[in-house]
Amino acid sequence: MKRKAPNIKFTGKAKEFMCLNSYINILDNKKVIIENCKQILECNEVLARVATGSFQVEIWGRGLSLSNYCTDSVEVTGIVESVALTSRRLKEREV
Amino acid sequence: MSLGILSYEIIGDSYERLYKYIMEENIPCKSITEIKGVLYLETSVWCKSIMEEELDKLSYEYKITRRKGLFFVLKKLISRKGLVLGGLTVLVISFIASNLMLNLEILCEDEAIKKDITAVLHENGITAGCFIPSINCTVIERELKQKVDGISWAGITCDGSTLIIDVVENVDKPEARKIRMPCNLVAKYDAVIDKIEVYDGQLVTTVGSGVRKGDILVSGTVITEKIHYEDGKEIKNVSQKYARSLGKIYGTFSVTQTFCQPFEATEEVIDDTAVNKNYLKIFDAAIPLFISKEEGRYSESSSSNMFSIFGFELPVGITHTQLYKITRQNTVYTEDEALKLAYEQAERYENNFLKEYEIKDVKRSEKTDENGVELTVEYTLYGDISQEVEFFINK
Repeated sequence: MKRKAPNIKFTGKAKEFMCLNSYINILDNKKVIIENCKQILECNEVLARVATGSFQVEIWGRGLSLSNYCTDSVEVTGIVESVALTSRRLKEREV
Repeated sequence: MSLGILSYEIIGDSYERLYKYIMEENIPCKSITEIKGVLYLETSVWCKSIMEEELDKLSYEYKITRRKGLFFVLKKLISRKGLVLGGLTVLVISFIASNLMLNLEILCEDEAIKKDITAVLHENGITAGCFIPSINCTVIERELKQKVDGISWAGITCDGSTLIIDVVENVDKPEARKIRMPCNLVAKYDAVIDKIEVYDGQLVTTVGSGVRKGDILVSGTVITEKIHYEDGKEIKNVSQKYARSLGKIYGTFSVTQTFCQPFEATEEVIDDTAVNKNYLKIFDAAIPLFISKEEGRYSESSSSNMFSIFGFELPVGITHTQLYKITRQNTVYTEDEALKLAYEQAERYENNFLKEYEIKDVKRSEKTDENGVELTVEYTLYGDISQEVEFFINK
């Protein structure tokens, strides 16, 4: 059975066109670079939590530290064990 | 090595507001991590004030745990004045020593020429210990070529602290063949001849006679007649030769000159108030220490003050330039003033053009009309009225 590719809505296309999407680069288990980051929420040794336009990104690991060298980008370094993305809309509803 | 990084240890309840501030203000931070409720972060030294202001505002306890980078190294060094002073002195001494002339080498065998070259160099202040960049090689080379006999070319090069003078000695010139055209002496003015001095050529006029401008006074064509008798017969031999006429023919002549001075004239006036401009002089370069550029025409006078250390003049100084504005303005003269100016013109003419003649008599007549004054001067002059005019021989 053929699966249909998910339809991208107009807002999604507009975001892509305006470069408002967040780009997340993961380098092995050593580094995570998140572009178009809106807010740093938390950063301790085991968890770094940052908010992007649509998601809240949770990076779990050991010995984590966060750096922001340039505008709207953060870099999480340490031993990365998992990266979790939660829609901000869902999160807000839960709250 | 980074410019300057501060490591902070911050204690507070929640750090969300601080994170928000960091993101909003784009404060570059690195190694942000919370360990047991204490936030550790590193930031640039340039952000110290805004960071600490915000930490105070948020009522966080904080302390700087580590300072690293070039900024702090320099700060430490500057506090040790002896070290800084010593370093600077070494720099200055090495700069001066590497630019001092310690040895002079003249590439020439002839001792007399060497002596002359050394004398010219001394005249221009080039002795052992002089500052090499201040030597204007082009000027010295030109002066050597002009003043030192026996050299045809000179070149100056610097090799470290040695100044090398390379010269090319004169090569004997081959004998040149001179062709001198025969010439007549002709009168420059309508004159009456008073005195004659002829060294070569045939005189064709006499003392007391009048000549017109262009008349031949001494001819370059010399005709000689030789008469001898053979068997009772007269034989005439006519021979002709050409010469370059030499001599001085003195005569009295008159020259009339008119000098006009209008009552209204436009003249250039130099303002008394000066505009001061300073330049930083480094060697031959003059770097302006001002931004505004003066418009118009200016008369300029400048003087340079060079800095010196222990009596040794440095090639760095300040050039003070004073600019006086030149303006053109219409001046109206009275009759007396205009006449005075006309007389001044006549005096200048005498000094410039009649210097070689003796002024025997001067007759002046003045005429005034509505436009200005006209001074007519009739000079009676005495002097050499001859000039050489070459001619070609018909073959």
